[in-house]
Amino acid sequence: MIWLKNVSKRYVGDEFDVLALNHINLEIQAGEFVAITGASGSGKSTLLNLIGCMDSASEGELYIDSLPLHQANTGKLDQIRKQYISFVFQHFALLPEFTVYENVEIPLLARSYQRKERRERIREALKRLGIEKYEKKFPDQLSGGQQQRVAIARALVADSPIILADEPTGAIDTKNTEQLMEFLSEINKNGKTVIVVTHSDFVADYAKRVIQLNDGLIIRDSGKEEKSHEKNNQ
Amino acid sequence: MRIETGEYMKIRHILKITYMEINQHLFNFIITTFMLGVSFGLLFISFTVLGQYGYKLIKNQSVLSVPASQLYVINLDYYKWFSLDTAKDMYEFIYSLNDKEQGICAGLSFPGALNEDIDVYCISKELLPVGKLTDTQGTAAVLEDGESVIVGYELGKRYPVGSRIVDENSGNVYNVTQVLRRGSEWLPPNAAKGGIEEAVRLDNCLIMDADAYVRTNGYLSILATSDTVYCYQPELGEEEINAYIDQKAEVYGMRVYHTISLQKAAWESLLEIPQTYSVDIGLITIMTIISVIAIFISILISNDYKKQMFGILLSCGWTGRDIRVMTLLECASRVVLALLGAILGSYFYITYAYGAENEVIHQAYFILLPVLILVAAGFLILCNSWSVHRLAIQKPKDLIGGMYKE
Ligand SMILES: Nc1ncnc2c1ncn2[C@@H]1O[C@H](COP(=O)(O)OP(=O)(O)O)[C@@H](O)[C@H]1O
Ligand SMILES: [Mg+2]
Repeated sequence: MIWLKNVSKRYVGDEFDVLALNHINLEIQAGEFVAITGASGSGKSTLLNLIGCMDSASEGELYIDSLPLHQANTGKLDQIRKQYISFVFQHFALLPEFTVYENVEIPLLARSYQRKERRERIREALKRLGIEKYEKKFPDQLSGGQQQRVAIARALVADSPIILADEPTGAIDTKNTEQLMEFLSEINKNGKTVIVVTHSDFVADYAKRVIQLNDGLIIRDSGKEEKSHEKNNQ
Repeated sequence: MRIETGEYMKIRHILKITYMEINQHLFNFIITTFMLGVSFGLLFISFTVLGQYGYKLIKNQSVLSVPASQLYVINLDYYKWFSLDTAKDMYEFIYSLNDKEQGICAGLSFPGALNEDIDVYCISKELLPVGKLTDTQGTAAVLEDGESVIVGYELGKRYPVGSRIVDENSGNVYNVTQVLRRGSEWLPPNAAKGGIEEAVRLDNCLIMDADAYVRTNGYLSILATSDTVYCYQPELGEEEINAYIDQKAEVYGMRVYHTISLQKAAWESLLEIPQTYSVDIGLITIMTIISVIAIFISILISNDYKKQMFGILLSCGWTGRDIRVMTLLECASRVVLALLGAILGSYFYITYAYGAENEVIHQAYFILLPVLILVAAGFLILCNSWSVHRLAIQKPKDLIGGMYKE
């Protein structure tokens, strides 16, 4: 479903020239639960941005469902993102001036759902995350853990097949981290592809596959190891 | 996977978030936009008013056919606001200053100011009321033969050359011998389109014109050069003429605040404008400064906020196009509000500061209205598209960048 072939990303500016991703090859199947780990600056976010159609690669080929991202212009990328991707961010990325309800409504507005259906979906998502009573509250009236649940409700509500989370547990405590990862596992069990960027082993343990980056290179991919195990066993 | 149900639905949803966004910043939104509109409106009106004033000053002086060194100005600040009766008294007083033997001619700068309600007077050798006229151009001056009369352009439409004018007061009948036109003996070629619109040297008499009008409160308000009386006297010195005016003033019970002085240069008079209109100018300056600061703060702050917001919207499945439409709608509502502000603000400004009956200003206002609309709209669209452009050239990733920082 997600396929990266020789993908590089280079940031070039007046004072810097960083090769954030160095000829990455990667394949992620629908329904996988992948953790991307690595030190800070190793290129995790860059990789996630490329998959999430938030940025374009400098080199190489990227496909989602055989749609070529590397050939798509901004408008096309917008469309693909709208169709496939939902994000969860470390700092929640909620709109501070909008209520919980309105924040969760945003993806539905982009996808032109009718008012009644929007309401049903929002209520359902909020209920699933146990935050239905905060519907009319504003983000800054909630704790970090609660805010992250709102963010997850927002990611769930549009029913996108791919959920991308960049350090989703980076700003919340251990107890909430545990609950959050349970949610993500459950979402994954329901058939969504989940990709989590983290540098916590605890978080990575929830994933079925761990990809480790270092200096823009994949230095370990548990998925491949399993495959080679299988091959070896055969 | 849902597929969108068409553009109509989309616009409705974009409208919804536009509404949500405006609603969140309602106070800020109204303050910045409406105030800007109001100050634009006021600014335009004041430019018309002051421009008119300055224009007149320069014109008046450039068409004078007497040397400026022999033209004296009696400053009658006292009469800036006065009742109609007082005005009438003043006319008589000014008229009394004319003295053929001494070669003194006096002219009021608003000979036909009291036009709607009472008869028009012309400061000439003889007062000639010529009925109710609507414009200062409807003045007539009796020539030396005591039978001929020369009329202004407007009056000339009703009384062409060869016709007769009856002085309703004395019953005298005069023959219209000439209508003042540009390029005529009386009006220099560079004078305005016709009539006694500019300073004219009529025989020994100087007639000037400016704008004055009756306020809704029954007081006469004078614009332009009108709080001055021009006095032409080629032989006497300054002191003698001062004494002469003081003596006449006593007879007529007039209070002349400033005795005569030499006519100022046009640019000096222009420098006096800020003093005369200090309150208005102060008001406009304050309004403009506040609103421009407010609009800039709103642009700068909301640029940061919008940057995040757009990034979040994009990450939530909004397309760049959706966001552009949204910004456009927001801008459109700003423009509408600003125009409302401009129209209302300037309307009240005209009505209360300058009196509803000032036709010149009203005309200017309605001529300027389209310009007002264009400028207010243009300014806001420019501000908006500038910030949208700055955001549009960034990648979604960079827009939401702040959210990634560890
Ligand atoms: N917009 C950018 N401009 C320049 N360099 C960047 C930019 N974004 C990321 N980088 C650089 O690319 C490398 C990888 O960054 P990133 O993907 O954010 O790493 P991680 O998420 O693993 O911490 C880093 O060296 C970072 O400094
Ligand atoms: Mg990162």
